Amino acid sequence: MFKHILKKTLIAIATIWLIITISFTLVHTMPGDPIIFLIGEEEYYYLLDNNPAYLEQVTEKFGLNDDLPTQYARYMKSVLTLDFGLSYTNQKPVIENFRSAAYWTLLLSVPTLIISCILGAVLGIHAGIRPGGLFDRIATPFFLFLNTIPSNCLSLLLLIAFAYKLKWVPINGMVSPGLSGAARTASIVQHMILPLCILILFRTSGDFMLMKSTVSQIRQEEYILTARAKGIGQNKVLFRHVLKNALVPYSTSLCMQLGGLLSGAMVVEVVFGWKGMGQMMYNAVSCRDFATAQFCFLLSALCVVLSNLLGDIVAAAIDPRIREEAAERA
Amino acid sequence: MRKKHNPAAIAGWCIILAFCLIAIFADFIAPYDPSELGTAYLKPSAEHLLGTNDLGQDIFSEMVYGTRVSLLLGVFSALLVSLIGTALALIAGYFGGTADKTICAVIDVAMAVPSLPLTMLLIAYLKSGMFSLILAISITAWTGTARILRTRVKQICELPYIKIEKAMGVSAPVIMVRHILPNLKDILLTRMALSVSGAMTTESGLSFLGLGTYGQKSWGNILHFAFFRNSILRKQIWWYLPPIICISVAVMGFMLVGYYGRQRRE
Repeated sequence: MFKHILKKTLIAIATIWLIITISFTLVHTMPGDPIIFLIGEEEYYYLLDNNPAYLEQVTEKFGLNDDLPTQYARYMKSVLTLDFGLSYTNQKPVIENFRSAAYWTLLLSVPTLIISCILGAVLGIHAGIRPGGLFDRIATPFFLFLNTIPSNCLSLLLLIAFAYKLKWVPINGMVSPGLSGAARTASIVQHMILPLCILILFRTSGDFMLMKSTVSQIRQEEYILTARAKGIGQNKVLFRHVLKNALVPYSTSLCMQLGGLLSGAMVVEVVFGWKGMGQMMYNAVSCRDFATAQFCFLLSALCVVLSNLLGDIVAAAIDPRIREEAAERA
Repeated sequence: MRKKHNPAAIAGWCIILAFCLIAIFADFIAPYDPSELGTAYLKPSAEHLLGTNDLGQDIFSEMVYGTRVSLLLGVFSALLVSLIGTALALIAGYFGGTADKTICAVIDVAMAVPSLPLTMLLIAYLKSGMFSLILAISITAWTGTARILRTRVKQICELPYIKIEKAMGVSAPVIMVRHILPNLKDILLTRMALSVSGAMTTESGLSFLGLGTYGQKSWGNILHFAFFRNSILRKQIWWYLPPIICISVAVMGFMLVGYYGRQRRE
């Protein structure tokens, strides 16, 4: 068991290292002077025309005249010490911008994860236990249809319906200005309700599909038939045999969803003007703020790798079959 | 054996066919040049079926030409994805051993890379253009195809006729291309349809964010301008609704073919 986890951890660390290296090579293999990516395109051409001596100085400061291995070592060091430089849209350290953005994003993504996990499981079990039943015939096409609509389209449609036509919720932003205390909280809730609902709808439809297909697959297994033949009641079979087995893929998938906590809601955030991580990365890319963009990329990669690792560990912890298989291979 | 076509798959094919026809005959269907400037914010009329946008361009013509861009991006991304996926799957599945292990490791790493952030990062670095966009979309999308095809290739390699050919000394490329590849046709088609719908979704998202191609307007681009030029506030339903409908319907068409297209043989 420990060997299994150790191995997975080592692979995860190697993956993270690889991704950091990829992002380093990306800067240095792209066409154009790497200094463009560090100080921005406009600044670069301005300096090139007006002050080439200063440009040379900046190049020296970033150490771009050193050979690649030296630069690589310095890059690794700055990543490990979380020193990502200044965002050149507002000249604050990237890490500082990240803190407030992460707060707002988590405000949306944590409730999404929890609510849709429960909702998806309950509805999925309902549909999976009686395939072809009334609930299955209504819910499955509904969620399948939801899954096919691109998120920007659905967000816009709901925004138009609920914010512009019905005027139930505010159109844009996160909180009305000039409020404090309970009034401020109420305003935040009012602003987040629509994006939250959209995120929950999407997440639930994915969770629902997974749970439904798992449950209906397990229902056909022979051990379920055996259990029924022994005379065990329907509910007992459901909780003791079906759900216990369905838990493994479901919890693994939940762990993996943790990886999208910070960067999973980009389109929805942009549509609703929610100043979270997704918006931050979007702004960074559209303003060519490479320091921030790279940070966002590395951060989301880190999240995905860590959550995959968590998924592996959880699967091994709750499923004895995986433990045994790992022990055999070791 | 009588082949019974799945109605969902037929609907999907009809949708795809309709959009393809629009894309091919865009020059004949569109009444105006989509880049031609005119009076801004006209309401729909007999002259301008869907009115005009903020620059006075005819939205209906934009939509017709947008079909071409959106479909091309989707199809070419899917082709690239399938090409990379199939090649890696054939090599991994046929040779096994070190090649297999290496490719599986690469797939694992590529799956761990968050796709939308990487795609956006690449777009920021690359010169904007159609090819960059296709590359950026494909670079994270090939893993699913590669993984599924690899499993299938492994199964096929266990079949007697492949083993016999190996024993007879037929060269590896010949076996892979002439004898294994044709057996992958069904899965490949399914995966390709799903890849197209995936690529179109990604493209519409990127273009909606304003990170798509410049100069050539896809549906996502039109939606981007409709949204950021406040068409919703102005109640210009003829501007923001058509791209939403087209994107959703086209994506659904490819999805239907992908999910139900194969069932008639089973």
